Amino acid sequence: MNYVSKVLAVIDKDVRSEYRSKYALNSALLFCVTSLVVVSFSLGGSVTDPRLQAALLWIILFFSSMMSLPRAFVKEQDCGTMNTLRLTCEPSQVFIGKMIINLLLLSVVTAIVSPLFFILFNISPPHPGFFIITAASAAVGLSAVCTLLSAIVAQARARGTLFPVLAFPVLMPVFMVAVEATGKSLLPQSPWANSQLLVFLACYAVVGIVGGSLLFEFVFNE
Amino acid sequence: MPYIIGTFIFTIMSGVLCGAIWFTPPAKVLGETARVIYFHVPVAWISALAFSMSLWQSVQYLRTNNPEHDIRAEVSARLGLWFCVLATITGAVFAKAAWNMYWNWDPREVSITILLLVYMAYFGLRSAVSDPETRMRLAAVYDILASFAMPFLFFVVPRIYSSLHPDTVINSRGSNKILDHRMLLVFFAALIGFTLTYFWIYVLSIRVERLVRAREESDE
Amino acid sequence: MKTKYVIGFAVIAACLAVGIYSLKSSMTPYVPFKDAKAAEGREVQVIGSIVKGSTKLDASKTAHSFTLEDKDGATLDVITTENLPTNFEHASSVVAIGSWKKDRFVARRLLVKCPSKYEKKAEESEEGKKQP
Repeated sequence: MNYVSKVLAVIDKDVRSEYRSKYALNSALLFCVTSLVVVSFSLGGSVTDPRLQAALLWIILFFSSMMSLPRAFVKEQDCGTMNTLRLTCEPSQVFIGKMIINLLLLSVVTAIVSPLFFILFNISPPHPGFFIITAASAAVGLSAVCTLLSAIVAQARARGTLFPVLAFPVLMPVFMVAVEATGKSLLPQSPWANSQLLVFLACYAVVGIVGGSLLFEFVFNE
Repeated sequence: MPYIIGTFIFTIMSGVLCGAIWFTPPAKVLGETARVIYFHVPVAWISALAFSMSLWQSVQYLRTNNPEHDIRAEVSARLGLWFCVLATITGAVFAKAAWNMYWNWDPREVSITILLLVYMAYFGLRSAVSDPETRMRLAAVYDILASFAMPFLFFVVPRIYSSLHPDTVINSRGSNKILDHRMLLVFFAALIGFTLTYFWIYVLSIRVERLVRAREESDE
Repeated sequence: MKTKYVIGFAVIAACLAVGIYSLKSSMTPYVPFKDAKAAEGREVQVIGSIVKGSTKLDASKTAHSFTLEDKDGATLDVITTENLPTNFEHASSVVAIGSWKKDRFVARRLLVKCPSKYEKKAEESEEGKKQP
């Protein structure tokens, strides 16, 4: 099998097992919807500042990914299937495959939660294109870093609390910029003057993917 | 020999302390509060130095798998964290005197907070892994991963966004901001003194850490 | 094997550089004067330097007013009932926290940045001249 087909095999395996249990997707979506309802219920229509709305949306997405993304490797560790992965694939293949799975998960959650958020907060996004590019590039960076951290916490204790602690400072730049860019996309003025924010998110995503796949070897190989 | 070095460093640091309090004149405008630069700047410099050292030793550990590098990385990170806390405290005190507020989420304050969180997370990770070999490997990886976010914190946030923080004393334009020669003397003495102190603590801590780990191994 | 790391870290360094460069003008707690005026009533932070000689005590003797100028030359009239910080007159830039009300910026809190020159304190006579 060549490189790409092994990556596809990793993705295929995870999509199948996720399709059977729907555990990660369900828990992430339920978390998002619950917190969205709580936020919208307690704040009502009082939050009209686009920056604040953007911050709320990203806080919800950030914490839901803190819950669902570490499962990528924690699951393998718990089922004792980590060694099977080590035997069958190169580390970078596993990393890319798991990263794409996490990206898919995050994209589905974002694609469902964002419209819901806009409806509940009565926003009709004036620049959906800018928002979609922001969310997509932030999601790539987020899933790359979270995949590496997932492999780290899989070998540690107290994973549930450790993961956000490890992830928060590293993801801080991408979080801040994503909030800023989303806020701009909710303003009536054209946000394209701020496209340097998107450049930053894209650069962060590349650093995440390249750095993640290089460092992943050391985490994965025992 | 260690006693001679220790006495030497103690003498320099006493000199710096006395010099900072009595020898240097109070600064224009800032008055007596400006004396914080003899402590705040060296302490911040040491924490940057220690974190860079920690990163370098982590890279070396992944290359060689030699536990000695992990000892150095951990000790550097610990010292860096302590000096970073000191920099935060001296900074907040000076901010109260000069800007009229202890904490205002000025860009500098944001970046130092995230820096503190990174290394607290580093030690959190260390304590959460029981197998020593795995712990060393994972800690080194996290140290390197965190360093990718570091340029953003150290160089971008404070330098590009308008900040209330005074420009760095020795800056790229080469213009020296300290004009009085007595201040300059004490300032550089403080930098050298703190750097020597750092290396002294560093060497001692490495020896202590080696013994601690040797004991842990023999206990098992 | 070694080339992989060299290439990888070159890519990372390049991306960090581009990413850092791209952020040059975004994200600060301080908003431009224009936006502060537009966001009437909402609390914001603005940063600027004091226009020389614009500091005045108003008629009722309870409030100070002054004009801030940002680096692009835009100006903002600020009024505050707070006491001015001690080294206010010497400040190279000032942060005002407050909100735009009708025709001026009402500051709830003032922060000053001092000139970053650590000079020796000037002679008493010179200092005396600056006092009103």
